[in-house]
Amino acid sequence: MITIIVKENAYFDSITLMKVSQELRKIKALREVQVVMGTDHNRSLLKNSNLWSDEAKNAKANDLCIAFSSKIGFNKQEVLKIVEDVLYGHQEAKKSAFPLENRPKTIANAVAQNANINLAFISVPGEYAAYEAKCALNKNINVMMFSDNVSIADEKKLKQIAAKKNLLMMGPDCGTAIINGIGLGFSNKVRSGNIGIVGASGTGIQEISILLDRLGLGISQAIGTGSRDLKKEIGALSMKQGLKLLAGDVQTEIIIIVSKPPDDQVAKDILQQAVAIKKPIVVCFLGKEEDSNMMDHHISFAGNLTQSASKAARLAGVSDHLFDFPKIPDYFLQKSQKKIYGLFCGGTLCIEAQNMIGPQHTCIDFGDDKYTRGKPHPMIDPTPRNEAFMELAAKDDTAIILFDIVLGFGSHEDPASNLSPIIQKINDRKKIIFIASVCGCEKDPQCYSDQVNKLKSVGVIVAPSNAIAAQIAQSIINNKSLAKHKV
Amino acid sequence: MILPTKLDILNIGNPLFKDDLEAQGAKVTHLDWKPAAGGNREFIPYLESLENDPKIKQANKLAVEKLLSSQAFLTDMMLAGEAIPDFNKNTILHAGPPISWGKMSGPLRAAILGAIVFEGLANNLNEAEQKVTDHEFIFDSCHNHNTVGPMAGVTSYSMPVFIVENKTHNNKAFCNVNEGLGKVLRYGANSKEVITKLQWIKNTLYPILKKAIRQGPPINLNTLISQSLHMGDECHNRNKAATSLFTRIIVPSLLEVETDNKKIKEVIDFLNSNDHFFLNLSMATAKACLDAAHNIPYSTLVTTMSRNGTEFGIKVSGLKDQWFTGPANYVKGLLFSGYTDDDCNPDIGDSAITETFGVGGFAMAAAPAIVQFVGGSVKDALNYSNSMYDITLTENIAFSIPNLNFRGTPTGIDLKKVIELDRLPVINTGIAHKHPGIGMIGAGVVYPPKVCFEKAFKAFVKMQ
Repeated sequence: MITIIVKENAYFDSITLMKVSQELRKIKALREVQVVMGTDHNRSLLKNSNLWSDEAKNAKANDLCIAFSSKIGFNKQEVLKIVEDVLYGHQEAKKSAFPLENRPKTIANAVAQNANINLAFISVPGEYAAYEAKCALNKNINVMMFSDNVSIADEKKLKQIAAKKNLLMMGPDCGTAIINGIGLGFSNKVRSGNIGIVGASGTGIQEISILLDRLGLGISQAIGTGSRDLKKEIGALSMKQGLKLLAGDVQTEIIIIVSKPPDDQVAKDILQQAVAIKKPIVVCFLGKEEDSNMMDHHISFAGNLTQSASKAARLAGVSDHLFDFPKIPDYFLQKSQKKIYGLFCGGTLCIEAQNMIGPQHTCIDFGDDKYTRGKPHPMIDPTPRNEAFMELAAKDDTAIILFDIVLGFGSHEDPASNLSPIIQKINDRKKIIFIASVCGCEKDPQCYSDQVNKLKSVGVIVAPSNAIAAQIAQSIINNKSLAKHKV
Repeated sequence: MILPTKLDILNIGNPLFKDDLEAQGAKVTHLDWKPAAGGNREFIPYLESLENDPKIKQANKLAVEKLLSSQAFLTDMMLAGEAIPDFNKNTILHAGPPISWGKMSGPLRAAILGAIVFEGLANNLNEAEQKVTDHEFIFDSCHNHNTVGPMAGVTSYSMPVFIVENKTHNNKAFCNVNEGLGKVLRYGANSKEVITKLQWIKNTLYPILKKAIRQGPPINLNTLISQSLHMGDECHNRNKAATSLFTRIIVPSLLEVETDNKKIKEVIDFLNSNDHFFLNLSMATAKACLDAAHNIPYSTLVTTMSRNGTEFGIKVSGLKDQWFTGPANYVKGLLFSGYTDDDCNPDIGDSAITETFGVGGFAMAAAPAIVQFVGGSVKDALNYSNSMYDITLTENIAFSIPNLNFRGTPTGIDLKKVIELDRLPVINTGIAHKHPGIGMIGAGVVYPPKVCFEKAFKAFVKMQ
């Protein structure tokens, strides 16, 4: 059988065409093969080889002629594929044949080079972040947006697109997530397990996950939503999406919801969704007491992060004894020393502490916009907070400095060593009580126990959690005995 | 797992996050990010809506099809006034966007005066200038008349032009004959010897060459360009191979149509002594192919880039015949000995049509012999071509580049991508002396002013 395929105005040089012929001759079912441009000379060659048809007759000098005779059993598709491969194919191979700079510049570029990309981690300045996120969602890529400074309107629009496409839109201002075992942003190397977290609070997620890790429990997924997700304007679009995913995730057996107290209607919506999920759920709307209207037995409430971890642990059948109070060494305070000052890197840790020690004491969040404008986050660069330690030490009313140390990916490589000389310097001059918690786990790059020991070596009381640290501070200042573990 | 497959992460922003992710064994691609549209917040919201507009996608697909299916043939030569529609005896076409006499640069003015003398419409340059100020002439852009011309691009009534036909889409483009190097009209020289050479072209070269072209079958110029790209040309700043190939094709016909050996030798010597003879054919090919892709509603394909020595102008397929202009830049490159930056005229000529077509600077990787103009190393040349793939709609597999492993040249500048990536098309070009009559003083690389693309983008947005 004679087959002649003519592609009009498809000029190829003769070497390329020889390569096509060579490849086609490898097909056993083909006998005679000619792949030529349709010049007069070439067409007479075709005619002489009996590879002739009306198509060949009408071909022009710039028409590509693929002509062959074949035995029974030849596969035209196979032939065409080989032709296409040699002529147009192997673009990937072509691109990498020379060591040229081919890093993708746009999301579209990146997807063209790697169609498997399924999550974009965005940390560009806020004014450009929404555009990049939109591009990613349009390409069906999940988004974690670390960037803040994105307008509420953009946030809502992005989350609506994501919901419609059933994609995750974590953030803007989402600092922490653990997805499919990979920690994103500020996150800790906690073990994998059966507890899923969805949270509008980065350090909230970190604190809960490391506490569970310390109890031998693990995280299935930790989905961040960004700090504003539970505001009325956004309506918890990301949290709802996150809950839906956790509800359907077979590895997740227990769910923890964590956020600052949300808008009332938003809280209602979330709880309504939670009621419908047939998994035990711990709800922590920081500082908010149990909702007495919620009588559903599979939902329990926690007032702080430590409690959330405790309740989840009990649901998982694990004792939470590791959260016991540490031993407090003897201390002596001057009469003027009346105040607790909290210096925090973690925003949620700051709020949690402030809730517990009361408004007569002061907690400062160094991760707040007004301290980070144009500067790295204090988890990355502790310098601005270190300076505050020195300033507070000089104040007469400072009794206790309460602080956090946040470990994990994204954080400073050795925050305890960075801070301890400053504490030592203060100790040399004055008696101030330092109480800290270290938000981290053993496998973090900074190693939890190393960091704890470094702090202890300069006399810092290290509590097992932020809430316990705050409670110790409060007990000391109120000169109460330290009740055992009632956080 | 909530995502059904392993995480495959695209990191956009701080590279430290990439390190953290990789330390956990995740697969990460780091985006070589910079703010979209160069951070222009006025444009950013539109990038995405234009990118996802099905009308634009469809229009660009059609434009690309038209561009890539175009086959340009050299079929004939005629006098400009006979060939080009609506051409009066007092019409003078010039390179670049339309410009008034008062704003023209020195070389362009001088070339126009020379053309007036050549046409016999004035006895000398002074008289020519007087007649110009008396408004006796109509000046217009070559591009507005399916015509292109290198450097000053001055084309007057009785100058011979090549007729290049896009046989796929039945449109024609015209271009004058390249005069060679040295003192030439296109660089603003207009002395007696320049006029004499123009007369020789008209009276000796033209009749013979016209007959020779008509003698053989139409010459497929697309094919000729493909071949010359494999021989070290990029068909803007280097046309050595293409000129040689053209000579090889035309000489047998010359011998058939002319018996006067002396004349034949003159013609062959002329072809032989001018490595840029083919430039004008390369430009007309580009023009004929791009015109077929012009005027497709909603297409963001750039169909013209051109300069008149004062302004740079572009046209966009979906924006009809509107020019979008900005001040022409200065060319960065190598100058012949004895010249300094102070001697250079701003960028001039229609020859940037070659880049618009996907050759010239876009095919720099094919022409390592002239890398001295662009930085010196072959890798620089490869990178110039390589960096243009990001701003083009397609690759022209018919124009393959051996040094890029036979990848097709980046083809079809996309207005959207130029704005989104804030990356301008690269143009290889010659440098004219700012004073008339001195000619070419170097060659190098130049970029269009960004404002042309910004204006066009705004017009596009407005049209939506």
